Amino acid sequence: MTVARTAMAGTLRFLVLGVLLPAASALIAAAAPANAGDMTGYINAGVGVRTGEGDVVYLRSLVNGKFTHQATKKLSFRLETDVYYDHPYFRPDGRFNARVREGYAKLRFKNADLKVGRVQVTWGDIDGFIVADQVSPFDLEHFIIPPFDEIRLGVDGVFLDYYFNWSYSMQLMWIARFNRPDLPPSDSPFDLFRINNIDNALPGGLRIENGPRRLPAQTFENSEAGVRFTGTTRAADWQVGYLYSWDDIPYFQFAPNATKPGVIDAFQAHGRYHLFMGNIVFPLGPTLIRLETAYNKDRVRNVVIPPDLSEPFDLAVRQDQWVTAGVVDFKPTFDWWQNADASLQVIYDRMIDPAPGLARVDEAVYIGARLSAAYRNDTIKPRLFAIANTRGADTWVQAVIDWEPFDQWRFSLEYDLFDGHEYRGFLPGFNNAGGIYGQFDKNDLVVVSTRYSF
Amino acid sequence: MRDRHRDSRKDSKNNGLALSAFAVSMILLTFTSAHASEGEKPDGAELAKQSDQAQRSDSEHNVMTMTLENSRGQQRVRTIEGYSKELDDDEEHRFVKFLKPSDVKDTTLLTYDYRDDDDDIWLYLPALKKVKRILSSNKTDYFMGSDFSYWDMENLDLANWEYRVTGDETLEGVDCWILEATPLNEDEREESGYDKTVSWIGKADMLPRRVDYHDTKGRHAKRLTTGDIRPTSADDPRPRAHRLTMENYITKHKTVLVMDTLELDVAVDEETFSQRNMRQ
Repeated sequence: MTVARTAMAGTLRFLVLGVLLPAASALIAAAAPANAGDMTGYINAGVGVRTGEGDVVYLRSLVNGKFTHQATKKLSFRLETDVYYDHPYFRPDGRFNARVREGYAKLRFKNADLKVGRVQVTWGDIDGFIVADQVSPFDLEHFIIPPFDEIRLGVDGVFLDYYFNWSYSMQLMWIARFNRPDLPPSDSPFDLFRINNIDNALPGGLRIENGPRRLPAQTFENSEAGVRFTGTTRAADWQVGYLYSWDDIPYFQFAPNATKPGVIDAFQAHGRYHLFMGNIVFPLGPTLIRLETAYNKDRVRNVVIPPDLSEPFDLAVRQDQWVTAGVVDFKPTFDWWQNADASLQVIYDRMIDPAPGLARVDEAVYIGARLSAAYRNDTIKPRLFAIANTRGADTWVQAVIDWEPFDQWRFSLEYDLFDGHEYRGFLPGFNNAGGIYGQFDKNDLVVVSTRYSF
Repeated sequence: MRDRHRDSRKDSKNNGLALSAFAVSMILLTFTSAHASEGEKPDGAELAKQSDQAQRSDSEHNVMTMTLENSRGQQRVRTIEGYSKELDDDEEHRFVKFLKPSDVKDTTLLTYDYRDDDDDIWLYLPALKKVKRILSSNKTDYFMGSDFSYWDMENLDLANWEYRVTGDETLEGVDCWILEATPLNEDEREESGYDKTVSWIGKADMLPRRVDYHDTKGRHAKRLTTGDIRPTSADDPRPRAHRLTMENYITKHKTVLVMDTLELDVAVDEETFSQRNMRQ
C-alpha cells in the first residue's frame, strides 16, 4: 500500500509537472516567431523498487527542456533546465526541484568558440566508470540509476575552444566557482560516502552525527582552471589535459560536538587536487581500443588512525591516485545477436604510497563488459553492463530493455543487481574484498521508466 | 583527371556507416550500366564496372525523409540532412545529421571513407555531449532501424562478385536489363548476407527500377523499388530516383526514402566535415 500511495502521489505531481508544464511550453514555442529559437526536451517518469525490501527507492518525474537561439551568425544562446519531483521511500515528503543544467552565450569566431555561462564539459571517452571525466559534476542522488544524460550537471565559467585546424584543438577553461555534485542524503540506501566504518577507529562510547556539508567559499582564489589538447588523426584520437579542481568526491572532517558530550560531528568537505589526464582511441584490426588514464594528485582521503579528541580533527591525508582504463570494442557476428556491440574493459585503480590506515582500498582491478543489440528495426534494444572488482564482493550487473514502438516514446525495464559488501579492509580482521558496488548489496532493484521526447 | 571508379575499393573493409544519408545516390550509383546495342546483352561485369560513371558527383547535399513502417502500418519518420565530398582518389568525407524526430535530433555521423583502408567514423550523441570514434558496423547490420543493411548501401564490389545479364523485361513500361550478381567466395557471401541479388536496370536511363535480395538461407528476403526518377533540378538535368522503397519480406517491415532536397556538385566547405561542426 505504501508503494501504491507513494507512486500515486508521484503520479499526480508528475501530471502537473510532466503534462501541464510541457504543454504550456509547447504552446509558448508554437506561439513564438519562427526565428525565436528551437525548443526540445523530454519528460521522464521512473519508479524503482528494491526487490529485497519492497520499497520505492527511486521515484522521479522529470521535465527537461532545451532552448537554443541563434541571435546572429556569430552569437547564440542555449538553456537547458530540469524540473523534477523526487519521492523515494526515505524522504517523508516528496521534493520538487528545478535546476539549470546549462545556460550560456556562445560566440563563434573563425577558429574559436567562446562560451560564457553554465556549461556541461565532457573529458575522456570511457563509459560506465569515471576516469578522466571529472570536470562537470554529476547528480548521484540515485547512484547512476537514472539515464546518464540526466545526471551530468554544468559548471559556471568561461570556456574557449580554439581550433588550430580541423584535426587539432585546445580547450581553455576558467571555472568561477565549485559546482558541487548532487549526493544522496545520509539516510538513502545509495549513500555513497558513509562514516559507519570510520567510527570504528574512534574510542568506544563515542557517537558520530552528520553535520552540514562544508563547501568552499565562493572566492576568486577558489576558482578552477584547466586546459586540454585534442587531436583527431587517421591513426588515432587523443586528449591530454590538466585541471586544478575541487574534488567532487567528499571526505569527512570531524569535530567534537560543543554541546553533546560523547558526540562527534562529521562534515562532508571537498579538497583541492590536480587532475592530469590522457586518452587515446584507435582502431586495431576489427576492434577499437580505448585507453584512458587519470593521475589525481593530492586528493584528500580519510584515514582511520585514532585521533586526539581534544581538538578538531580531519582524519584525512593527501594521496596521489592513479586510475587507468583499457577498453576493447568489437562487433560479434551471430545470427541471433542483431546489430551487436560488445566491449570488454579493465580498470586499474591505485593509491600511490598509501598512508597507514587509509579508509579505502589501496589497489583494485575491475573487469567490466558491455553488450547491446537492437531487434525489430531498432524498436527493441536490450543491453547488459557488468562490472566486478577482482578482489571479490564488489559486483554490479545492470540489464535493460528499451522498447521504442513509436517515435518520441521510450519504455524501459531495468534490473540492477549488486553483490558484495562495503570495503572494510582497513579494519582488523577484514580482508581486501568489497567496494563501491558491493556496498549496495541490499539495493537490487527493478526500475520501470517512460520517456516522451518533444 | 581523377579516377571516379571507387567500386572495388571496399574489398576487405568492414565499412558500415559509410551508407549515410546518401543511400539513395549510393544505391543508384551501383546499378547504372554501360550501353549495349539493341538486342545484344551487355557484359554483366562491364555493366557494373561502369555503373557510377554516369551519375557520380564531386559533392552532394540532400535532405531526405525516411519512413519506417511495420506490418501493422505503424510508421516512424526520420528527417536526415547529409553532405558528401570527394577529396581525391583515395578519400571521401560524409556528414549526416538527424533533424527529426526529437529523440534523435542532432545525432550526427561523420565518416572519412578511404579507398584502401577502414573508414574513420565518429558519432555525436547530443544527450551525452561527446564525439566518439566508433567501430564500422557489420555489413549485415541495419542502418538506424531501417531495412537497408550497411552492405546494401555500399558501392559494388567487382572483385568478389560475378555479374551476369540474364535477360530483359519491361517493368511498369520501362525496358530493363536483368542483372544477376552472386558472391565469388564464402567470405563475401557471409559479409554481405546474400546468396544473390537481381537488378532490373532501365535500358534508356541506366537507372535501377528494382533489386531483389536473396539471403544466405535461400530466401527472397528483400526488394528495393525505385521511383520518382526525374532531373535533379531545373538547372541540373541529371536524373536521380527521388524515392526508394525497401521491403523486407522476412520481417514484413519496409523503409521508404524520399529525397526532399538534392543538390549535386555544390560548394561544401571542408569545415562541414569536422568535429567542431558535429557539435554545433
